[in-house]
Amino acid sequence: MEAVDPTIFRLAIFVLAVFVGYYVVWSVTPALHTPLMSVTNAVSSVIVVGALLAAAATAGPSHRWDEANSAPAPVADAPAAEPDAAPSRPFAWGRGDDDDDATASAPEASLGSAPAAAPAAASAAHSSGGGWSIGFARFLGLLAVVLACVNIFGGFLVTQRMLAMYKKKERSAAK
Amino acid sequence: MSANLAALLYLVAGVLFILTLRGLSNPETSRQGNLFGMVGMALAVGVTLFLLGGRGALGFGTISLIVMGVVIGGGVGAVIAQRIAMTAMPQLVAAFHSLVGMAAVLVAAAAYLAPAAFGILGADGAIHGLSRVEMSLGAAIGAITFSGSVIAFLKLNGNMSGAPILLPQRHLINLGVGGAIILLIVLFSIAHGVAGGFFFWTLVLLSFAIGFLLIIPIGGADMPVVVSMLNSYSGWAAAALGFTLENTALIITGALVGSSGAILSYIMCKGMNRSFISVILGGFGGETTAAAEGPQGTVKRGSAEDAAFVMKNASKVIIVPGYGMAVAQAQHALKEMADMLKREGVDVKYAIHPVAGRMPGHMNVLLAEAQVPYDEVFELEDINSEFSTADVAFVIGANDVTNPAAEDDPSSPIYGMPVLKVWNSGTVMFVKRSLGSGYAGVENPLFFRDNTMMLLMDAKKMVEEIVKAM
Repeated sequence: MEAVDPTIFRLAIFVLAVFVGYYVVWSVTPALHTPLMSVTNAVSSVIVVGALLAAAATAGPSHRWDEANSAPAPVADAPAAEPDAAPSRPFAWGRGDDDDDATASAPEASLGSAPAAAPAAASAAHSSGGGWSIGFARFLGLLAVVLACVNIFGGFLVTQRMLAMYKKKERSAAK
Repeated sequence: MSANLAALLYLVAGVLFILTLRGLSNPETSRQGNLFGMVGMALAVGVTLFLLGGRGALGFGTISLIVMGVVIGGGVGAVIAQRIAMTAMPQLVAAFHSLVGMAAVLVAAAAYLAPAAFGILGADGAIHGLSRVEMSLGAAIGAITFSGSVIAFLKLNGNMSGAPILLPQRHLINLGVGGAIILLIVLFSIAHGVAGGFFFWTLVLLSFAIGFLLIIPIGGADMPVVVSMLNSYSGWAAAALGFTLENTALIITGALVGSSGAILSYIMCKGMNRSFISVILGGFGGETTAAAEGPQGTVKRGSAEDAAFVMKNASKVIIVPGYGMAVAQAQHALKEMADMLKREGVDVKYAIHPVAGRMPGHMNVLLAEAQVPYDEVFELEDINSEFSTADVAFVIGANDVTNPAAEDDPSSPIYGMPVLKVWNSGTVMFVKRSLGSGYAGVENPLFFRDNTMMLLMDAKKMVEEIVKAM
């Protein structure tokens, strides 16, 4: 039997989670629908994990290479098509997976100078792709971190503030 | 940290988010639920940072920039959360949705630009076809969420008129743009090279455009549906990116939020007896149907003293708050009035229509803010039969949700909408600024009935005067 693509398992998780969501949300009391919206807003900001990956993007190859569902691209087109790992290695801010010790070597160059270095990198790199796109991706990632964090902190705190107001009838209040 | 352990911990985060929503089934458990959500979020972020650190991707510069981003974003979020007025919750939620949408677009774009960092490169150096579909879906839905939420925010915040803006041929335009986006997603999934980039960025731009086009024709009365719908979209965008990132926490969360928003949209539509499709097509709530005829007649106006006298001598009063109460910030004065009535031995209850206010549950939050115990607040189906036993129905800032035309006038635009049967109570008091029609532009025949007392004044001032008169 051939191996099942992991995407199918993710799809299974997704479909089941939709059902879980359906039943859980119907059990939410209508009085709490506003906090429900603000808290779902906050949790959907877990997209921050993607933002973090982008903000810390490197040009090096990642741990996962050989998936079955690769694009049906002719191999000849590939180098020009997408950022290629090898040519971008020489750039200071385009470190590979394996050089763990680079932490101290070029700290401020690691991202701060990336946008500035972009034009030079673009001309040196392949037509589309190469180093500048990593720098741009890191910038977008960082922006996404900021936006998601507004949501995470804002969403959870405002929900907490609202929920703190829901009180039962107090005997003493009736006097 | 091994990839397997990380995946397990992401799963735990996903489960914590499920428990967060589960906690909201009861106000007692809701606070704990919110805590679960925070823990889940911290866990997801922590695991990601650990993974990146282990991969050697976290240089000093990177980590300090990330920390800076978190501090800036978190600081802004925290300040907003502390300062925002409860009446402004609908705008705030719309604004937050736009941020989620934008973050999704940015993450998708970053994944396109730096696929290696997301582990979506194939052996041939191109992004997987399936990943391309996922990321373009995420970017498209995110962009729609963003521009749609910005329009919703502007309408709710009053920066933009709530009246629908109807472009000629808008359905055709929307269909065209929507079709183009789908076509571009397909082209992007099979394209490579410069063409791929063109397809990707064009579909992002078109998605921003269609989000804008979809929301401008929707009138202010339908905003509760729109806000819930955008809530749902932000979830689906997150789920699509969860597939790209192969992240279980994101997939689960996206599915939860997506279905949550969809259910809220459904509840809102049902509350207004409108089909989801007709809300999307827009154009409602702004047309000047100018109810030319309708049951005209004499209106009985009352004073604060009259109202105070009648209510003090009642044995049961049901308060029906609406958006007008929120606008006038009358909830605290109202609570004071209810407390005085209770001291007189009057049974006081609150009745809330599902679409009262500008978002689901908005009135409940406002009453909770005024420290009204939540067990005195009832939903439509729980209290509707009680109006016949009530001496006074005190309608404050609501109108359409009490309109009997919804039950007995098939020609009325709101016919069939579930309404609070306030007319069954002994006396109906309407606190309103004027005799004008409500948000839906529909005349309320109740104003002209014999047992109706109109209290025409700003809601807060009127309630304060009633308190004084007691």
